[in-house]
Amino acid sequence: MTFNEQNRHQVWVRNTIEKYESRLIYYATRITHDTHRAHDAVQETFLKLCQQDQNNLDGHLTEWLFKVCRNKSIDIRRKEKRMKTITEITNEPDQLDHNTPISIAGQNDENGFLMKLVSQLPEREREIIDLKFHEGLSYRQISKITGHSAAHVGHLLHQSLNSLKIQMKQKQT
Amino acid sequence: MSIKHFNQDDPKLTDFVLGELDQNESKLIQSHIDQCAKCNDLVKELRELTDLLSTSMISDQPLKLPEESHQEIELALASDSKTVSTHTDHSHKTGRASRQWLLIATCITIATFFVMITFFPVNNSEFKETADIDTGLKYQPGKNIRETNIPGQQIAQLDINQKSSGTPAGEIKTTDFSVVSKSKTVSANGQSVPSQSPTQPSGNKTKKAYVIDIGMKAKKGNTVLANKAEEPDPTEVQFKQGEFTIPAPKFKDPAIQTNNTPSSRFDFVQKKNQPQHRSNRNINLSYGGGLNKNNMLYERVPETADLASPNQQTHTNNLSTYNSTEQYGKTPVLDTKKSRNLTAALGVNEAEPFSLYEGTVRRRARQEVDSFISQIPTRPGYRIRNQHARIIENKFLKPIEEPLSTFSVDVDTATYSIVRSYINKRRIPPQSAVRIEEMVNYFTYEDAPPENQKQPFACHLETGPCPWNKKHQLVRIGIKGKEIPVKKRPACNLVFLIDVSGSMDEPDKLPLVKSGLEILTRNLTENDRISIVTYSGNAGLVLPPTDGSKKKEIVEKIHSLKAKGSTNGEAGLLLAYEQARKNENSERISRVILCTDGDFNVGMSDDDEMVKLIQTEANEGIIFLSVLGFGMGNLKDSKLEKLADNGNGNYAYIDNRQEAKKVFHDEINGTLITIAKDVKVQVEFNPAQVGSYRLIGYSNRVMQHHEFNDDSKDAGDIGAGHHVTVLYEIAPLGVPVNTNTDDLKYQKKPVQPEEKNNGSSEWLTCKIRYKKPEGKKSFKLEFVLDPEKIKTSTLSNDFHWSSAVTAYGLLLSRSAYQGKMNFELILNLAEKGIGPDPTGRRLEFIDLVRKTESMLKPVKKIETSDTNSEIKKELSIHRQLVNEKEKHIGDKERQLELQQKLNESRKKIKDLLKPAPEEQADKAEKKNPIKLIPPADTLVP
Repeated sequence: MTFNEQNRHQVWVRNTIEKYESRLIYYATRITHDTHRAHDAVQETFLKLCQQDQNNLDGHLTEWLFKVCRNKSIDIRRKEKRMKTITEITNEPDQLDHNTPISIAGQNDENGFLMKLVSQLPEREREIIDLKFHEGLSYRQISKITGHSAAHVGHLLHQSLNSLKIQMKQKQT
Repeated sequence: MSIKHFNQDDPKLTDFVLGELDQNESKLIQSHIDQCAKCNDLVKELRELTDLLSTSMISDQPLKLPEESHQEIELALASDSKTVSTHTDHSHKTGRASRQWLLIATCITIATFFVMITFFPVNNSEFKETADIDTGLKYQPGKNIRETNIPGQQIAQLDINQKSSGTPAGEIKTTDFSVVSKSKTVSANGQSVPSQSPTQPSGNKTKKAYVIDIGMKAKKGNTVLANKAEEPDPTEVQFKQGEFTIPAPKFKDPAIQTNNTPSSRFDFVQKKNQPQHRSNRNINLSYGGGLNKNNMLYERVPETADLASPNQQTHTNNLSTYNSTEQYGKTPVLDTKKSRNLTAALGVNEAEPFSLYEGTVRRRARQEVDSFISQIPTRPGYRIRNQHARIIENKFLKPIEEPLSTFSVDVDTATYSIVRSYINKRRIPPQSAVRIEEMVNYFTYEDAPPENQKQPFACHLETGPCPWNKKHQLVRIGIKGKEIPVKKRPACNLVFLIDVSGSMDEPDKLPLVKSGLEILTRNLTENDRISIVTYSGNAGLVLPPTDGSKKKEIVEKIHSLKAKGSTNGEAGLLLAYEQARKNENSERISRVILCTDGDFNVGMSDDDEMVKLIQTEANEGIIFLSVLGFGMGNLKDSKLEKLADNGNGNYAYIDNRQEAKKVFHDEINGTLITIAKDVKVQVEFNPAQVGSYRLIGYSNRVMQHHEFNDDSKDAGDIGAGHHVTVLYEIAPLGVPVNTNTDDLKYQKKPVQPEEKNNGSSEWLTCKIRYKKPEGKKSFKLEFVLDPEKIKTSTLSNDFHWSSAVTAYGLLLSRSAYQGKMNFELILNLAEKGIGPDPTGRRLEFIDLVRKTESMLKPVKKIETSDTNSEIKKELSIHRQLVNEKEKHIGDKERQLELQQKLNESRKKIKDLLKPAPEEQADKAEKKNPIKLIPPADTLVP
């Protein structure tokens, strides 16, 4: 690696970090349900990125990043699940959280209601909805990240959209 | 071929809505939907849902990794990843055996130094962090901590000795180095560094030798030398960065540029104050816009005493010892999960001076031309890379000395949207992003358009007291272009040049371009021609010139745009002009509209060449160029403005759908139709009435006075319905203005105004020169402001509104002339001038001001956790009471008593759930209105 190459590599990595940082953290948080764990996962992802060659990732960088981030997040979640402390378990469901003014306001608003519905979807579907609508990825990209076939991604998406539609209608009537 | 009906369970429909089908199939479905109402409804429903989903999914605040993570990644990045990272992992596993550990530690140190020698890092973070590894490992086993300080002190003394005895030039480098490295609090010796810069190594060879030097010393295992590597000499850092990361062949080492001394001194000052001002700097960092930092550095200048005094030196010395103990004391305590975090965590303290060095580098570099600036690559700590050209404020001038004020009009509106975008992301925009005139001109005003249809614009003059300085007056010149109704728009030949490089692949970029184009397509008629050229790695023709009535075809093409690849603006520009020329027709207005997020980084990357091309096209072929900027993070504000100026077009920045609608629909005529070209304004002030005057904004539009009558000089253009507001702050005769200069020694004082009294009560004459869009000869209009002749005593809404926006702009640009400015004043003015506000944009402005105010409020302690715990406590009491009540069902007296207690507890919980009253806090703030600090120029005596 000559100096110039290394320099270019660094610039590339930094640009990538800047571009994907926020998106990856969001995604990892949705999987791990915890900011710190998400940060860990994203950090690991970027550390792995440092060892990659730009040419190898050209064209499918997004998929690669999300896939690595997904695997890391799942790893971390698995590990930490085994070590849940007593305090965490006791603290988890709290009546109060559903009654604060903010959460009540959130439910009345259409967006908030929809987001709540999304969060109640099965994990698999929710993930795909995130990838499609938050990240704006295509079926093929999603299939590369999650490992489902593209057709299956379409099917899952369709299924979840339908159920969301029905629930929204019920709410309106 | 016909398609069967879709039912709700067909995934095809979802695929279609999400745009995942190939073209043929989607065409088929589209044709089916057009005929079948039932399916059409289904699609509509689905579309609504997906739209709602994607809007509600947009997270408004970007998430960030914690700083330690960034540093860790930087570390991994700086060291050649493969070799070093495996070493570190290894050391983690064998952590228990201390001997082995030490051995490996030395290995790492040597290896890293070799890596450094071979690859020479771009930034000095590696220096720092490798040094950290060294110290960290050495002291962790529990060596005597005091030992480390002794050599440090010795060096500091050495430094003082050398300074007093006058160091030979050759030795200066090493001396400085030891000082810098020993403590973060660089002593006054630092001043000599920039002035000595010619003695710095200038070629590759010397540099290598210099690094090897450190490396060899480090091998001896000398701890002090390891420390040395921590903080390389600032000029040295800069030198490296200049030499390596900037490929421009023209580039000269900024260290050799003049004017270095003062700036670097500020840095040292900052460092000297470091321990006391840690909290200050945190605020400073949270300012976000990298460029602000410099400002904050300046701000501290008055606090410092004379740097050269020996007392100060010893003082710094003490501080430094204190610092190093603190640093070493921490080392054994650190107990992080990840082994590599150790170095990162240690790096936190040192990282701050490092970012200051960057500040120096940045500031010096900014003294170079804009084009040069645009080539500085990113470094950590500067994650926002929008580039704005530096703005130098206009000063107060005296009509006796300088009776004329000449400038070109500016109808760009980009600044306001950029500022809005910054504020909505909860960042204070950098000073240089704020061009006040572009903020004021963003709004529509009530000024009447010209009555005479032949005249392209009307001019309204008005004067009133200046809100932020009671002794001064404010003069408003409102130039209103004639309006052309949307329906009467002449036919257009539009070429959209769209950047589809990889960087456009973000929700606020390409999708926004698409929706903007869609809005525009709705208004096209069969006489219009539209074509779309895209560029990324190569330029491509997406849509050849097409009849504006073929809307479906156009929309389809718009939707097919996808972002990827690099950026080759040149090829795109050439192709766009080619397409525009194809359809050139005297009846149509030809215009190339560039939609981009910033850079043209491949091909004709030289700005001047591109500007030349645009200029010739604008002058000869009447093909104008408008520029629409999108997205944040990579915005080359300065470059885009330049392009639009030279292409006789306007520059707008689009940050959301409303803005897209404004530009593509509401004010489309202003964007497309130029009613007057090369509009210049010259104002002559009457020295018998005006003491001094200051043009607010337009600082990069100021022209030479003789250029006003020179038709070959290019200037700004006015589109249909555009409104240009010019504000002058005027100090009447007798009101002194702080000009900060001594009286002249070799010249007499300028002639007293009384002698020059010409009996005229006029304040000023405003002359406007313009050309017709296709003409080459200019016409002149003259307007006079005579306050005595103005009959109406009330000021117009426009006056209040423009002064409110200007006040906000002055505040954001940390103007030196903002006088008594605070948010209350801005809000008052804005409320006075809001008028009917049919578009709601003025209301949005008020909202923006409020947001800014809340951002600059001192951070309140978060009490929510407190109240939360209280609520929890009360709830548990409540629960206990309920339980007890159930237990004592039979006992009536007890029941009553418990019921009472229960009621009380319920009331308490209800009270706690109410939002706490914030009145007191508000009152306290009104007493001390928050003010941004003016830049250094005004503070330095």
